[in-house]
Amino acid sequence: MHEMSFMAEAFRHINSAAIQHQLQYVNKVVLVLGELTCVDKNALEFAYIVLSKDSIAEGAELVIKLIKARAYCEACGDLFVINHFSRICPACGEKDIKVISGYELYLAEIEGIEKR
Amino acid sequence: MKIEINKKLTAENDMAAEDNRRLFLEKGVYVINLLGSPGAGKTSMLEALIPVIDDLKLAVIEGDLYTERDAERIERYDIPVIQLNTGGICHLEAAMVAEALKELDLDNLDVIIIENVGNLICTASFDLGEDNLITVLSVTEGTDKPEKYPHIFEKSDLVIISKIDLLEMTDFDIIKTKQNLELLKKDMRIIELCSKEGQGVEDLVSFLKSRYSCKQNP
Repeated sequence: MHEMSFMAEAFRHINSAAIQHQLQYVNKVVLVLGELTCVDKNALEFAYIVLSKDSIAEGAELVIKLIKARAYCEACGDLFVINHFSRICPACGEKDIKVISGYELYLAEIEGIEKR
Repeated sequence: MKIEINKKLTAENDMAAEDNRRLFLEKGVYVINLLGSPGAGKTSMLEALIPVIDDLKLAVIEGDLYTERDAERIERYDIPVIQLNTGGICHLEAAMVAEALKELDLDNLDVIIIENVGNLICTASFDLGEDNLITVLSVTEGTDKPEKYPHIFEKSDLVIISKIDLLEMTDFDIIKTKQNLELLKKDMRIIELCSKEGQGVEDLVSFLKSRYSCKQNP
C-alpha cells in the first residue's frame, strides 16, 4: 500500500499550489504513471478517494495518464515499446538499451477556481 | 485556471535518501540495501558473512514489520545492529534509515548492510541512499520470480541465488534463471550461495571488499 504515501505527497503539492494561487477549490487533478513503477492505478484511485475527502479537492476529477515503457537501442537506434520483462532490442537483439519512459510518477497539473 | 506542478511523488523520500548518501560518502561508509522475499535467506546469509568479513567493520540495520527476531540473531555476532520496525509498512524508507544512523558510530564503520522488509515488490522503489542493491532469490521460490518481479531484479547490482544445496530437490532451473536475469540487466552479477555450507560466501566477501575499496578510491 505504498500508493497511499505517494498520494499523500501529491496532496501536499496540491494544497500548497492551492494556497499559492488562492484557489477556492480544485476541480481536476492530473497524475502521470509509468508502467514500470510497480504502482497500481486502482490503489492510487482508492487513495485519492480517501485523501480528497474534506480537502480542497473533494469531488475533483482524477485523471491518471499511463505511460508505456519505451526504450532506445544504443546499437541500432531502434525506438521500441518494451514489455514488462524483456530488455532486449527486438530489431537487433542487442542488450544495450536505454529505457526512456515507464518510470514516471508525478503530479502533472491541477485545475481550480480562484477565490473571488 | 490550470496550474502546472510537475512534481515527483517520490521527491520526499528521494531527498532524504540523498541526505543519507551524502553522509555515507563523507564518512566513507559503503552501504548495501539487501532485498528478497520473506524466507529467502537474507538473515542467514548475514550470519554466514559476518564471521568471515572481520577486516571490514560492519554494522547491520534490520527492517521488519513488528518483531526483533532478525536483530536478535545478528546481535550474537557482536557487531552493531539496529532494529527498525515499520509498524506494518511493507518497505523501509530513507527517513527511517536516517533515524537508525543516529545510533551508529559512522566514523568507526566501513560497511552497513540494511536488510529490508521481506518483499519483492515495492522495496526497490524507495531509495535509501545505498551504494548497491543486492537481492536474494532462493531456489525454493521458483524459476519464474525474475519474470514476475522484474522491477526489483533489474535494479539489483548483485543477485544471490541462495539455498543452492537444495537445488536438486527442486525444479528450479538455474540456467534459465540466469538467462532471465541477464535479459533484465546486461552483465548481471550472480553468486550461487549456501549459507549453511558456506559455498559462495567468499565471492560475496570479495564483491563487498572490491566495492568498498572503489568507494574509498573513486
